[in-house]
Amino acid sequence: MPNGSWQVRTDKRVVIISGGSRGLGQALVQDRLDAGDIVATFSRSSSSFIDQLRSADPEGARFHWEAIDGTDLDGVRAFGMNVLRRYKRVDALINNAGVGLEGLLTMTSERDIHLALTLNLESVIALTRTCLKGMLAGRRGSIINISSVNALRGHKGLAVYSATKAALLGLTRSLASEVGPQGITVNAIAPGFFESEMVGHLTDAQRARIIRRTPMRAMCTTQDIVDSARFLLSTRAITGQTLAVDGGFTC
Amino acid sequence: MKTMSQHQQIIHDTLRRVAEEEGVQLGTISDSSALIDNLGFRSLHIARILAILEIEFSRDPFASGDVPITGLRTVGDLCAAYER
Ligand SMILES: NC(=O)c1ccc[n+]([C@@H]2O[C@H](COP(=O)([O-])OP(=O)(O)OC[C@H]3O[C@@H](n4cnc5c(N)ncnc54)[C@H](OP(=O)(O)O)[C@@H]3O)[C@@H](O)[C@H]2O)c1
Repeated sequence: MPNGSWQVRTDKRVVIISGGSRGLGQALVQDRLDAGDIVATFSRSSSSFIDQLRSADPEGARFHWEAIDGTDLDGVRAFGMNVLRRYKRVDALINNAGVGLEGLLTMTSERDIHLALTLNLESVIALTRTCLKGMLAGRRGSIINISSVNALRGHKGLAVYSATKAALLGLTRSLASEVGPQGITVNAIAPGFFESEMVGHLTDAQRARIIRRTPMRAMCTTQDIVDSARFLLSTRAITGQTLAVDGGFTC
Repeated sequence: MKTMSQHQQIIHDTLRRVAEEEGVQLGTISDSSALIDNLGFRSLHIARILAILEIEFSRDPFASGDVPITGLRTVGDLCAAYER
């Protein structure tokens, strides 16, 4: 049997998180490691966070990282299969990597549109398709797609970004009904603005306006999103749903 | 009786294992048994069988679309896809 490539056999849950080098992805990776799970992630480049985890675990017993550009779909598929071969299971997938794209549609380049569609949508489908194989084999799994409030409400300058994030909600619902019978849940989190490099360009005035329009009168924190992800991973009763974590911005 | 190749053995074992876990009554398996019409698998079971075999053989013969998944009807078709 060609199973010589399995390197680690484990009873721990294996969680794949895309884009784990910084921002929300970093917080999700840390949370899952703290919970005792094995975590595998990729990003284009390393970060001090990734370097630290790798030097603390050079064998990759609990943490696995690869340098992959999410727009390289073959690379993404290979990453998923590598994780499956290495740890022999995939229990959860959090599709987090994403790129913001802002600008009036007619002034946005075709190249940037293609990049956003590829990373925010096609790459998510490719990684999900690969990870699902491990989940189907094990008849258990949880998938969380990180969408956005921009998928739920229209905002000028965000047509393409909104389209990619709304597409994830369609993926979430249909896939949930497809794989539910095999014990796999698929949900989406639609975060409001939270502090990260993606929104680092916001001016104080823009920030103040977002806060004014948010019933809870505060920006979300990455911790709010992490807590929601932990909740969705903890239950088998919720699938096909979108959880807006936005302080009421979309209510 | 013709002896089974290692591939065939793994495929038959996988079919039996999935059938047992999914509560499908299999009966005898032969190359001509149709996965859905004779053996009683449903399409999601077949997705699961293919997932297990891909992990086992480190290969998905249907990924490129050159071997059409629509041509996959019988146990023989399944074995042939991985023998290629
Ligand atoms: N921040 C917000 O207010 C907000 C609100 C709603 C939804 N979201 C969504 O939340 C998710 C995380 O956002 P964030 O704010 O944490 O973003 P971030 O700080 O920009 O981090 C993005 C992560 O994804 C990785 N990444 C980016 N492009 C990649 C590529 N082409 N290939 C592989 N990895 C790539 C980055 O690493 P590398 O750069 O090294 O590749 C990084 O690890 C995204 O899906 C975003 O759309 C964010």
